[in-house]
Amino acid sequence: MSPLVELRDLHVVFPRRRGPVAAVKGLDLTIEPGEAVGLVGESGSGKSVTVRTLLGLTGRGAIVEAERLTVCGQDGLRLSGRAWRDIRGSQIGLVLQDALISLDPLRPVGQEIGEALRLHQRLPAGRRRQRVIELLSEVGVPAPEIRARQRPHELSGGLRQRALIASAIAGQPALIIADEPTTALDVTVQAQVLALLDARRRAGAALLLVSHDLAVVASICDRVIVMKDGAMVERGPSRRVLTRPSQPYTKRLLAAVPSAASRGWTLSSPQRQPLPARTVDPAATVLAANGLSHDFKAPDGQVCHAVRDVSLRLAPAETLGVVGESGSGKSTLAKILAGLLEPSQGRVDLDGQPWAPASDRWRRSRRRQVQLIAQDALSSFDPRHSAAQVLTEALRHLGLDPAQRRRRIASVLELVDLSHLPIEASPRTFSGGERQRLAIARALIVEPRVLVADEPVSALDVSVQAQILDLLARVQARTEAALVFISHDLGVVHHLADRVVVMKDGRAVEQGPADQVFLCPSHPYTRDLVAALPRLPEPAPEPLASIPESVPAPASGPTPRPLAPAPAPTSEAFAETPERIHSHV
Amino acid sequence: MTTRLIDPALAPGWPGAPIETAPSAPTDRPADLSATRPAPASARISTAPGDQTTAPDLAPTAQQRAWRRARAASRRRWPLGLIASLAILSVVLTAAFFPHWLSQVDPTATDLMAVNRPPSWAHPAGTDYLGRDVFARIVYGARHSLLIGLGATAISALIGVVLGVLAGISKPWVDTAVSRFVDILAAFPGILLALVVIALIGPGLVNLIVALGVSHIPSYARVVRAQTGQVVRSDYVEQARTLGWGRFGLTWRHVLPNALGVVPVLATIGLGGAIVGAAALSFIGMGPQPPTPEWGAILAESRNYLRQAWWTGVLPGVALTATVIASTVVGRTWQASSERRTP
Repeated sequence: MSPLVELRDLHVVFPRRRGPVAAVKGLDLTIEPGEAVGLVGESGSGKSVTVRTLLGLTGRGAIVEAERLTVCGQDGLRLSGRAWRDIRGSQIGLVLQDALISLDPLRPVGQEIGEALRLHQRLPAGRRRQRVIELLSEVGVPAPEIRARQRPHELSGGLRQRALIASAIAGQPALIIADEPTTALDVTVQAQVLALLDARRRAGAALLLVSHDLAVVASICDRVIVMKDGAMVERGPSRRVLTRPSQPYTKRLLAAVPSAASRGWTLSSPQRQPLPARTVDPAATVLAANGLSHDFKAPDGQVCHAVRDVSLRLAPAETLGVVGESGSGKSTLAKILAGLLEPSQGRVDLDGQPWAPASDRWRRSRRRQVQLIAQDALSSFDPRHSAAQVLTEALRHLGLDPAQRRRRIASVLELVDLSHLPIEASPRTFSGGERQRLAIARALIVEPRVLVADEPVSALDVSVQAQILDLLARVQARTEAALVFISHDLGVVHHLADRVVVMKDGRAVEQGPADQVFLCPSHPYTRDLVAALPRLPEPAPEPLASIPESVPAPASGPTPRPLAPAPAPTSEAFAETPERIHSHV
Repeated sequence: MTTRLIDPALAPGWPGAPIETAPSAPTDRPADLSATRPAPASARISTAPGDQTTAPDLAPTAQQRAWRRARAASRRRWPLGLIASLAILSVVLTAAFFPHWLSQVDPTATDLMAVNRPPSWAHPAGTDYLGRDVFARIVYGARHSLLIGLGATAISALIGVVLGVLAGISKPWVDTAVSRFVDILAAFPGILLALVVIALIGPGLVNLIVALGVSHIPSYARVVRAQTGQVVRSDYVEQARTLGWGRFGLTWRHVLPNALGVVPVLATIGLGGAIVGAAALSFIGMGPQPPTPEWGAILAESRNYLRQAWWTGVLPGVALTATVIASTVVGRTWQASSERRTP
């Protein structure tokens, strides 16, 4: 049988004002019928452009050239718009990342799927409605008759994604292309969607799965192609590529994935090195929350309990991971801890002094003790400010003279590896990793006691994420700041956190040392979460000998960890005792 | 080798062959990409028609073809409309500040021996019913029209910004009070509101400016309020709060600079509207009184003679229309580029 897709020496170039920009530089790709191929790469690697080329959707002005571009037996370089429309849907179905924006918000999903059917099959209206219901139940939507009449916003993320898959398979395409189909989804839903795609594949369709997540690709693909900067880096059977990669880039990519095994070790260096040690004194408390609740009033008058009766305690230099799926109240908790939102009930104490609820006046002089690191670093910078202004602004209330300020800025930039940065430039000109480093630098420059990081790495590529995670660990060892690390990514939290809080529907369902929570979870919800996590195949021992088999002993319970002695605090202001700070309030 | 778009329907505006003028094969691209492949170019036999220049073994690779096309498409095209608009505005500004550069004739000098003369060398835009030089009247009229437009825009922008910022940063009840007041202003059609103000304070140049200014307040106040609210709720203001900034510091450092960036853009777009409004009010006799050359007033005077002397009405009208369109085009272009710049 001839291949469904055959690309040889594909080049896609976008003309830009400052000269052409190449998105794909000489890619070869073949997909045989019934095969599952994974396309892996970081942002900017050209994977999405490749996918769009296969559908003739590269967009306005894009220039596509190839030695061969065969899609479903037709020459893609010569196809008319009309011919592409015949291919889309009936021969190739596309599943995109965000079903909420991929589905028409004004139309019931059943109608949307019916539309897809109507384009490719001649069926009487009644029969078509019946087929829509069949499709919805095929993709595992419960009560399909009801769901078909609902609009996208009335469905949960998982159901929406299923509806999108249903419309993609309505024309019974020979090839399903899924572009980051699970990136916006929670782990448990992700597992279901992946299982669904795998089922379609077993039913005979070929699958091209595009993802930045190696574990997602590993879970259902036969072959993997690793892309970087528009070109292929490595290809092969997924088990081989993901366990015994031959290219340095693939090796680095795999080593950068945080997990239980990487705990206590650096992620970003090619050879793993132990992370600097911290001493956590479990008897000391820097931040304590007791019975925190927060209620929102929805516009329709319904009360929504975002956080319900959460208590937690944070020791100096400790890392507390908060995991939970979307809507579990993680971000609300972060805002309460950062003093940006008053709890409806309960209280937060900082160094034994009330922190929330408290008057703004009382809090203002102590604000810098608790610093927030946001997911989207760029939006946390004033768009008119340069990097230098961002940092100086943070220092405004410390009463330093200009020379001290300059020194402080230089030392904090060195701490986050940004000394090379053109500091008078706008953060907009920085890369994602540099922006997040700058955000961390701003948080650190006021020498806080507590850092609250709300999904600080979830918008980053895995190799940049590795650098930021290493940086956070290093910074924490240097400054002894306690860290509340909020994430939906269990691997990241397991890698970094000493203790973990698992949240669901606003409640803390489980709390304990990271290894205990993830390796032998006691709450059924935690068990579901852990089970749903897609995993990389077990690495073969020989080529990865550089990664130690035994990881450092995890912190457990109340015993202080036998780690290296604490390094000296970075500066004099940090050694200021809480009493001295409060005395002038 | 002929080149083809992958989907002409999806790529309008891409002419099929910009290739002939394109520079030759790319040289600054890394060669190793194509070198790793088993020489596809030499193995291929070119059969495309029109491919007389290259022998089969010299046919460009896919990479070379793509870059050649992209280079041609990358060339910058000048926005003609913007250039024309800037040219018109500079002529109008010259007329407003240095009218004698453009016309040495006195715009109020009458010549009853030469009434309603068509355009000629002596009178480039003809003469009106009193024998006044229409071109001179258009040139000298620019000052009044522009002055009214700028003055009214300044008044409405100033008051609108104060109200908008106040509503955006204050407690909900202040916001509600200010917003309802603005809603009441907006409920009147602009020209009607201006007429009401003139009825209260009387006609004249300054009063016209005030009346027009008041009637345009809502459009500024509403946009500024929305912008302010957006900035107040933004991540960076929240972040600045965690650094210990108070309400005043936040407003001064973050909210005002970011919320007011839109005002100059709005004012440029609004200027056109204000000039039209001024002309409309002058037309019905609520503005500067004759014989002051003001575009609206000129139009009103010429109304009765349009049959005999179209140039007395059409040419000032063209000047007015061109000015308004030009300021709108400049404002919109500015708006688009400032929207592109903010994330």
